[in-house]
Amino acid sequence: MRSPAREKRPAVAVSAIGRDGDTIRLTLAVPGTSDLVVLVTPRDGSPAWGHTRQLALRYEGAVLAPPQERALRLLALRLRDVPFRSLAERAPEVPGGAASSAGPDAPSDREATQEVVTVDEWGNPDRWRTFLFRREFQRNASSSIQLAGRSVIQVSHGESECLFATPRIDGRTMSLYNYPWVRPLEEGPGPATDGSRDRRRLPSHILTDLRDAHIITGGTARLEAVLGALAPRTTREDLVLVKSTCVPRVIGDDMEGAVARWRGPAEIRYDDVFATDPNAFLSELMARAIAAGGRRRRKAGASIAGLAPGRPFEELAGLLGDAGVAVRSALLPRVDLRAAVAWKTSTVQVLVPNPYFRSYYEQVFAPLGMRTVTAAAPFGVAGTRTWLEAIAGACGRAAAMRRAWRRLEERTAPAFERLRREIAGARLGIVAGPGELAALFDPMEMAGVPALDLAVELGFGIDLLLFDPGDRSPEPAIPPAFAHAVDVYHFGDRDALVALLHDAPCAAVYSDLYADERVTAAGKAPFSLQLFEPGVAGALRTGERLLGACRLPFYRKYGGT
Amino acid sequence: MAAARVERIVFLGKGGIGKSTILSNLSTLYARMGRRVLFVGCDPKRDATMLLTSRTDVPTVVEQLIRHNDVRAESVLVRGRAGIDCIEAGGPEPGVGCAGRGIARMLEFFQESDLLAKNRYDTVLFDLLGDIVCGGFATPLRRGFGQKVFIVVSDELMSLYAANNIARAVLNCAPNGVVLGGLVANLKDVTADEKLIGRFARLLHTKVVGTLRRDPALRRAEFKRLTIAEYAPRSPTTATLRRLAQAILKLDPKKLPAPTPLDDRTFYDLSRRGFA
Ligand SMILES: Nc1ncnc2c1ncn2[C@@H]1O[C@H](COP(=O)(O)OP(=O)(O)O)[C@@H](O)[C@H]1O
Ligand code: SF4
Ligand SMILES: [Mg+2]
Repeated sequence: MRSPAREKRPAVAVSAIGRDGDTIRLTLAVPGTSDLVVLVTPRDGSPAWGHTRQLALRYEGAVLAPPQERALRLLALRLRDVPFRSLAERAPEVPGGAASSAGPDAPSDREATQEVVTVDEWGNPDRWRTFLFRREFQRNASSSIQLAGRSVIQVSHGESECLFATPRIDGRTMSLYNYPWVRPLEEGPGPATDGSRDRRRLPSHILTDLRDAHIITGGTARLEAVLGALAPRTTREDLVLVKSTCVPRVIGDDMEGAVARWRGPAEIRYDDVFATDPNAFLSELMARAIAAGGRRRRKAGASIAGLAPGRPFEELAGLLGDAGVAVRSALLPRVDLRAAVAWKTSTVQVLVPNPYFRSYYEQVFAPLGMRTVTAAAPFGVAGTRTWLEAIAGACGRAAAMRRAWRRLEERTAPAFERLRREIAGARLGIVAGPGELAALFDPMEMAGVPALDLAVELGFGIDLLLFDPGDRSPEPAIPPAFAHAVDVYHFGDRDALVALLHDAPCAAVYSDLYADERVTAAGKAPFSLQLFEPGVAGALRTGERLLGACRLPFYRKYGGT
Repeated sequence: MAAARVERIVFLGKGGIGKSTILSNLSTLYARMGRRVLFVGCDPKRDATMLLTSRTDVPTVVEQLIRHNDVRAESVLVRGRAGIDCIEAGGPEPGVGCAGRGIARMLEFFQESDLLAKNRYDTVLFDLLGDIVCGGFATPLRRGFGQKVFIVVSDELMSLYAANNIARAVLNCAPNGVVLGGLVANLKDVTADEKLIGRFARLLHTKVVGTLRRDPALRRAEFKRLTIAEYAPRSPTTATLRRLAQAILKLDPKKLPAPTPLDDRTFYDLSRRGFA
């Protein structure tokens, strides 16, 4: 697939072009330094500064200034697939090599002054080239945990903006409003209810909604008022969970104190969503619920931690079921305490590798002494197969699983073939610094999602836009399994990154920043880990979503500056 | 004739040093001179307007916010004796909430209602909290609010230490047009060392613009909820305050030098030698 952004605007300004036999002379206007004359010949074995598929590039002069070198790299990128003939046709024959001024047909224009969209953070000189925000993953992971299976009343202490301002993306569109058709209700967070609470007309969620006056006079009293009103209506079965946003912490509200002063029959906890360690109370609740449950049954069964409920979960549980392994219990990120009771009745417990659940695994599940499967997360066809086989093997159902898998493969092969045909040639962009490279290829550094493995398995090519700090340090290696799919482009400064984002063949670029303008201004669609789903059907949907992002015309039409 | 400059006067200094007492007296004296005075109480203790209004229930901006989620001029501006308009920021109960935000919110109300720009007042006096503990308390030193800052001091070391810190805040806010008008000595102790304060002022590159002494009449006036200017108009203290009021008006902010606060170490080293 050809990226239309490449047709849109060259980032390299060629001010003159001429030809003397088999040598084309291009004059590059380089901002901030002198022009650079580049000699382009058909590619042959003789030494040159660099090569494209068909061309050899040399330059006039002894040394290259860094901006000249960047301009040359960008030119090489632009000429990547250009045959010598088509370039020669545009260059007027000028004996002796004097170049003529670049006419309107020349592969250049003077538009090089483009508006530069950058993302900066004061005191962080690398922010402009940061697209991966791993520090933020942690908070996402802790807010993804939903407690259910008990009558849970969540008291959110904070402002309404904080709860409603976070927009949601479903892969192709973004939603700034909670329209029901964009955000189906059953998908929303919100704790599960049991009938008894509804009869007592207790809300599942109460917001203290701090206004200016509460911020000045302190919000603890308001929180206590809510808790006080709630107390007499709760029973021993209820769990009141108090969560807070930033403001009450900044003004020193005493959430823990308010919780300690609770006088109601219900159990009450302060759930610190800002805690860097997972919540101890959650571990305790899970451990208690598991301990209250019965022992192991004879029939094959699995208890799974770390797999979110939804279509992928159902698919995987269905496949295990086909092989005679019943999923008896599942915990994390949804924590349904009723399900926890059945945890120990399984033959194995399956802990899906995830950096943010690791300490729950250690605190709650490891001490149970159960047979444990920790195979890599079930993403992609190969990954899902390995995972299923590991579980079935541990339950003595390996042969049944092989049969179930063959049936699945037969069913899904045509869809994969179709998808791979469509994907062929599509490329995804990733911007990274040398220090981030290892993390990109390690799922445990990427919130447990083997994103690159899945993208490459699906047939996407990867354009790695790699920051070159210019210190001549050895370039970090791409893992061999990915080498065939990854093309590396270098950039050394903002201008070069902006030009690369425009010119690199990829049509979608990874960014954790919401609607990252650096990407959209280049006419490309941002994508993130949000698009990646486990399971086999999940892999198909992931492929379609990524392809959708690549084909999304919106930013090409409206995003470019 | 060019429009008269609006005097925007700020009093700062260690808690209990006499800021509110002096400032409410100055307000009374300015009003007597025929000036249109706005007294702005920025201390969450909200004790300053009591002397000027004979009321203990002055509604505060924060209370209005709590009750109506909105602030209206007619409900927070209280006309005191001598025609002085008073406004109190108010604040939280001690130990909870964010008092600084309360003060900032009051000044937002000033901007919303154009209170200072309408040529309504020619003298605005800001009575601040003892220590500028955070950005919220410093909002009266932002552009367009306070301008001439006076620091009330005694000869006690900690009052001078606080003054030195306040001079730093003034220096930080200098880009907003804030200047240090000088020190006001309030010698509550009969044996007080007045010269020490003079030496300290010179180190800060500023002057002592007025010196008050302990006066039991001040205390008696306070119990009667009156300023001394009303209670004992012919007392020497009232005369001193009148001179101070005049001196403050005469200071041209453009001609006042920037203060030169000491770093903590130098402060302690010099204090051992009585700032000699
Ligand atoms: N010169 C003085 N003589 C006697 N009492 C004084 C004098 N100056 C201040 N006071 C008393 O000291 C107390 C504190 O003064 P106040 O103005 O409230 O301080 P601040 O506003 O700086 O906290 C008040 O009771 C006041 O009457
Ligand atoms: S220190 Fe200042 S900002 Fe912090 S809570 Fe107190 S008044 Fe508010
Ligand atoms: Mg006071």
